[in-house]
Amino acid sequence: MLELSALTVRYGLVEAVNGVSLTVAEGETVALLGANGAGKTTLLRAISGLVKLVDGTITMAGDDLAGVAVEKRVRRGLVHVPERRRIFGGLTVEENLAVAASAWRRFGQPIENDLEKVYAFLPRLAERRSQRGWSLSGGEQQMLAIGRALMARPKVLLLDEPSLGLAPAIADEVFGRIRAIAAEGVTVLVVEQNTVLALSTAARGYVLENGCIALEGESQALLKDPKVREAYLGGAAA
Amino acid sequence: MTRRGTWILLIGVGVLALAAGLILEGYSLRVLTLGLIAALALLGLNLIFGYCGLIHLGQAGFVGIGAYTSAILTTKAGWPMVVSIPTAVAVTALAAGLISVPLLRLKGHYLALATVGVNVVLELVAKNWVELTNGYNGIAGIPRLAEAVSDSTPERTFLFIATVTLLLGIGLSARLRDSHLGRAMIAVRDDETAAMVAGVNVVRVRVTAFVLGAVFAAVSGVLFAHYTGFISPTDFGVPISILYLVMIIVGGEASIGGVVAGAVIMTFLPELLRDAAERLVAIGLSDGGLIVRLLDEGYLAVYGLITLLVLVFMPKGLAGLIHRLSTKAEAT
Repeated sequence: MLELSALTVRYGLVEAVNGVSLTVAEGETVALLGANGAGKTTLLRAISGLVKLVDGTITMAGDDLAGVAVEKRVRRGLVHVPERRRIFGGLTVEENLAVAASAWRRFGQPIENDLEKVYAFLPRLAERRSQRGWSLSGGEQQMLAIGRALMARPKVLLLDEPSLGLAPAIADEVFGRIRAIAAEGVTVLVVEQNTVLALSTAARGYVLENGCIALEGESQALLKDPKVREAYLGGAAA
Repeated sequence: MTRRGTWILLIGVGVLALAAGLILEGYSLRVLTLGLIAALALLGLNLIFGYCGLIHLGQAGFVGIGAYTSAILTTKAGWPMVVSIPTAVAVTALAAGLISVPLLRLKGHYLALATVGVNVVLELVAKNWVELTNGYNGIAGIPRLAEAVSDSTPERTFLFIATVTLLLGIGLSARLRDSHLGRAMIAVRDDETAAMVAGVNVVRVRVTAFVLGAVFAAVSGVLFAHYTGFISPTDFGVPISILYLVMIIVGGEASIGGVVAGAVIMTFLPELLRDAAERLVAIGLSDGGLIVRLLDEGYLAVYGLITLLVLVFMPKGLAGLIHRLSTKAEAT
């Protein structure tokens, strides 16, 4: 469904992502792991079109995305939930959701069904629907960020650190919702610091180090890999 | 804004403006009318700056394009106002659209500086293209809208015209705020990246906001020209653009009611200050020294002080203050 080959992104002279190739099959959930500054966020931003590629190609369902604007990628179903949620503070919860359905509005399609679906899926948002974005708690903001992505009717969902800054119980809840989205057949690529949470959700994972893929494999295998355990799970095998 | 809130605002502004129009006479009536005209330009700036977050220090330039276009068409080409006014609005919108393409590639303070540049260039054109604009002398003898409607009470007639136009502008602004476009503008202001990944075409939204804002400016400009009957380049210079931004900050950005209140209050301020200065002299507290001169001629300094105080003590302006007081009243 999503295929990156030899992707390189540079900020000035610094190579943030260097020759990364990875694939995510249709309906699959894949985790992207790595330390801070390994290039995970940059990779997601490259996929959604927020940063330009120096080299390499991105294809989605066989179509090359080169030269396709960010909002056009969204319309094709490639939807990015950015890091730190980035809620529109001056808009209400409902307006945050409605504004994310831009594509469908342009085609004159009603969005009421989408709204109802999102509220049914994330009931906390329904309770908060007329509250301004800035007044939500961190967990609610993350739910809203996910709800906003759902409004765009995603085929491929890119999630950047969905558990960042959340209490463990809330993070579990968020990942529970992500699993439910994946179960509906949405392809998911998730960047996450919480390695256990990410690998228990994803079928496969890639480990990014200094902008390159250092390791890849099935989640279970990665969880047992001594290098992963040492680097991301706090020490040697139990 | 809720639909009820919009109606309250429309009725409130309409009743206040018309009542004041009946009570006020002469010069005060004129100042009120000018305040309402300024409020229209501010509603436009509110779309650009309040909703879309673009710092625009050239709004007076677009008021000027509207005013000059209609003035030139009526005085030099002999067009009737019914044709010249819509033409002026269209010309302003077109100019804003063309300028916005290179302009809106810039962000933040670079954009702010570039908008100042646009305003300066427009002012220079108005001052130096003498055959068309009469340069520094300005254009006199512009046909007056009120006299075309009724000659017995032109001042009151025009106040009525300005009030109705302003009410239309308020209604349109409120509708826009609750439309998809309005939400997209605020989304772009709050977080450009998040707006992009939410599928919003950021460039298109910015250009639309800028052009719509210029349309409001043009309407304000043609009203000004056909009310005063005389325009000159200094009516539309950078200082006026800065005053507009001050009025928005004092009134409360992104609040329609605040913006209208800001426009009227700040238009009246120099008159109030002049009054105060005269009174100080009359009761013998001052012999016309520094304080009186400051109040009388240095009203820009007082504007600056007010802006500073508002920014420090009530960053959301008058609208924010009223909101705070009303929620406090509900709580007790």
